[in-house]
Amino acid sequence: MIRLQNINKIYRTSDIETKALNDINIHIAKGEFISIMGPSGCGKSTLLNTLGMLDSPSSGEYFFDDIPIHGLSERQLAQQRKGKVGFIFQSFNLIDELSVADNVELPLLYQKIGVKERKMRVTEVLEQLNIGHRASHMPQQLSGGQQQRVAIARALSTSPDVIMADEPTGNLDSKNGDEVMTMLSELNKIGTTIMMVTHSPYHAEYADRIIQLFDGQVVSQNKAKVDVSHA
Amino acid sequence: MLKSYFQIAIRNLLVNKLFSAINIFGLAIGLAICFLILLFVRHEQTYDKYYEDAENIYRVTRHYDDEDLHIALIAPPFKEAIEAEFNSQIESISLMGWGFDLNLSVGENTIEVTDMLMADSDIFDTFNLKIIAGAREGILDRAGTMVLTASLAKTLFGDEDPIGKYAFYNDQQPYEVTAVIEDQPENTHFQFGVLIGYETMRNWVPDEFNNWDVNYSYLYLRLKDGTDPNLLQSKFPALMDSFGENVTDDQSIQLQRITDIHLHSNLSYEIATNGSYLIVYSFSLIAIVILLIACINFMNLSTARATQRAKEVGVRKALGASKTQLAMQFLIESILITGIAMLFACALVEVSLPYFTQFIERDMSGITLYNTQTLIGVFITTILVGAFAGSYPAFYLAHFQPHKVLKGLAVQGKSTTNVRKLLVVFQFAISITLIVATIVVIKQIDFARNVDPGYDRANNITIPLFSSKEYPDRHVLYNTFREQLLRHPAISSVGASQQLLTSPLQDIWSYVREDENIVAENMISIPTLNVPYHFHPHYNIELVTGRYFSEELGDTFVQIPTHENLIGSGFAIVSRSAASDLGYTPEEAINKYIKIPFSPGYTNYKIVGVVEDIHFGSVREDSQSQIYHLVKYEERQLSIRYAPYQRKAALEHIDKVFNEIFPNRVNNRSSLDDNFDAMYRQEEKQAKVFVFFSGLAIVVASMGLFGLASFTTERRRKEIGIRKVMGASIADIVLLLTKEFSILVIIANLFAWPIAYIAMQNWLSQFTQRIDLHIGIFILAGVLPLLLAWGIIAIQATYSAMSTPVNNLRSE
Repeated sequence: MIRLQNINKIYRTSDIETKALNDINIHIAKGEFISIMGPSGCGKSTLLNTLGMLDSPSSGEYFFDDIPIHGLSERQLAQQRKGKVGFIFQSFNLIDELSVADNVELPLLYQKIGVKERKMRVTEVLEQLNIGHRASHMPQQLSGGQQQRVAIARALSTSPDVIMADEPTGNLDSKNGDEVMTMLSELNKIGTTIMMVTHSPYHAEYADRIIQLFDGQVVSQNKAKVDVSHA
Repeated sequence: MLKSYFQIAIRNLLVNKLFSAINIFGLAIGLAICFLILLFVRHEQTYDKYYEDAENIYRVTRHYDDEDLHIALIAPPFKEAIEAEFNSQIESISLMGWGFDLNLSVGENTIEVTDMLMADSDIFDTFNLKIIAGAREGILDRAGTMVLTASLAKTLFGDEDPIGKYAFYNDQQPYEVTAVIEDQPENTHFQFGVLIGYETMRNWVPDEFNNWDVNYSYLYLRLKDGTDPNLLQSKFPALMDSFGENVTDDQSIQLQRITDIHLHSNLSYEIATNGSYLIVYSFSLIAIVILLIACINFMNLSTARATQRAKEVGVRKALGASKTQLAMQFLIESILITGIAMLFACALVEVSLPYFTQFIERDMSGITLYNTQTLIGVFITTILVGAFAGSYPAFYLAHFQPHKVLKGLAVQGKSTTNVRKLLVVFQFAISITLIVATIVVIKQIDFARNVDPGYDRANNITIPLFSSKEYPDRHVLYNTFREQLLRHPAISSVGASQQLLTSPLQDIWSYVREDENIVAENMISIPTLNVPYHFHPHYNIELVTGRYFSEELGDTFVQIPTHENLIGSGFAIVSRSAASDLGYTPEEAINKYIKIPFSPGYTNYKIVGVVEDIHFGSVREDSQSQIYHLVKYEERQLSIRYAPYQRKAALEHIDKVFNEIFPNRVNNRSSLDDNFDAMYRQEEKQAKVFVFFSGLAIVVASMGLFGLASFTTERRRKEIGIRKVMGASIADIVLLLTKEFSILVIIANLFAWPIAYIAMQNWLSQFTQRIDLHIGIFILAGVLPLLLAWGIIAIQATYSAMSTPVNNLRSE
């Protein structure tokens, strides 16, 4: 489903050149659950953003469902990710001025889906994540865990093929963190491909495979050691 | 500490080059405009202050309440009456007036003088005019004497001593030069190059010196020190009562301080068009408004940049800086920026002053920019404007909570956003009001130019006629001219009149119906024009009933009353409204007689025709009723109509005839259309001023909007990022941001429209014929800034929307 070949990402400022990704080669099959780990600044988020088509690589080839993504313009990237990729962030990234329901509706709005179907989808995913009763609340009125649920609901609203989660549990306490991980596992079980950046070795173990990065390079791609799906 | 403030301030200026440029440039424009307007205002206030103790000099004006007629002129008998009654309060009282254009020649040297005034010798006491050559004694006491200004004396006599020498009036009558005086300054309400002895008039109209109804003089007086003008004026009604039947009850006379005339007097028959305090006020207002817009930009941009400064505030506070210290720091910064702007403003003023003086048609060469007063003014203004513009940002920034800003929590509250929105609404409301004003002024001028004045002004050339040595009789001159001109097929018609139709009628006569007695209460004042036979058909003035003047039918020129024959006679044509003023229908008016009291008896005019009203002067003038007298010797303005498409041939012939008749004269022909357009020069200038100012206001406001748009996109960067990740296109983002500003512009329209409507309705009321304030004008004025705002925001939003969304989210 996803194929990265010799991907490099270089950031340049006037006098410094930073190689954030260095010759990355990864294959991800449909339905996989991948964790990306590594120390701060090793390129985890850059990799995830590249995979999520939010950022373009400096060189190398990226195929998503055999469609070449490298070399696409910002506009074409936006077109490609619509409906295919859902995003979850550490800091939730909900729009403060919009209600829970409006936040969840946002991606549907931009996909030009009719109002009736939008409302239906929103109610559906909010129910699915047990926050239906919060639909008319504003994000600031919710706890961190609830906010992240809204963010997950938003990511799910378009039924994406892949969910990119950038430290989804980073801002949550362990109980809420575990809950989020359980949700992600369940989504994975029903076929959604999941790629997750995390600092927590414990949460990383939910994945089928852990990609270890160091200084922009992949140092290992091991199967998860422990099956924690029963946890 | 101060050094560190300056250092940080200068570094900030350099880091945010765009914001700094907008702030400095905007403030510089605002300050420069204020500076120029201030110079203009000060110049306008200097009018007539040149005269010694000018605050003691007054003009006496005459008012007819029943006819709503307020004139700067007065009749000659008032002088003696006032002098006798208030001898103890009045230092000096002087009659002046009846200026007309004339030719003066010395030898072969002939010049056309357009700024002649008649004056008695008391003028030298009333105004303390400075005599350069000649003696004060008997200076203008006799008929045929004149006083020249230094520059005119030089033009006429060169380096010769002119005292006791003669200059010839229209090549005929000799006038003795009795004195030369200093040139009058530009900033006085009565400009003159030559004064002719008032006594000269006694030869022309010997009996009118006792006529209480013939207003052709200006009366000026100098009060003795310590005299209360209000007290004096309070005694005027009693004085008027003492004149008995000579004046009617509705009449009054009033004192007018000469230093108030230029800005505050707008009576009929002013010596020259005065300035207007309204212009001074509106200019000042606009200048302040532009500066205010620039200050608002500064506030908006500074608070918009607050996020970037928040960390600095947090660190400084954490290290012990107090709120006051921080506020002071930001204030110093804004004063510094204003100071830099002020330097640019001074340069702008220096560069633009010559253009500005040309623009406002004032000679301000006397004004020096380099003096201590200006320096102090500039310094104080810099501090005040800097402190004002910096006040809100300073206290806003100083207010940040260190623990919040250091953690990177949101620093922009809802209330500051609202303040900013309010300021933007204010800026737009001003711009929209100015745009409405501009459109209305332009449309009104266009309309006025195309109003049918009731006479045919096409293909018409006018030439002022002055009698000469060869043609001492103007009537003969006119006929000769006319005959010779009409010989050429390109010339279709020639006429003449006492004055150009493009200025308001100068003469107003008092008429009495044939069936009424000649007493003040029966008199009806109607503007009057003296014309020769061919006037009405020449101008194609529509006949209502009766006929035009006709030599064949025995209409003869006016015979004024003499001591031998106390009843004069003449023929008249009246306009439709004049007939109605007299109480007749057009049909009834035919063959009726109307009387004009004229010493020593009266003149009886037979009405032979009624014509449609025509419009004399601009549509500003309320001009309806007219009466035409058939008069010899009053062919002062020759009017020549040429056949269509024959202009070139006609002009060649006109010039040829002119040179034959006046071999040594300058040909001052002009096109009637040009004269017609010239009537609207004042409005055109106002239009230019509005276009210029609204242009500047919009430029400065746009710069601010640009800054604010960048602020908004900055503030909503995260939201834009999220929306983009969620699939929003660039167009979606641009739409999102423009929507917010569109609402502000629409609100601004709600404020601007009523203000603009009232202001422009008021302005239009000075015109007797005017355009309607159509809703389209307001919509256009509202849409223009909306389009501009969309353009600016679209650029900003596109720029922001095009950046990779992760960049927007990364700052979290």
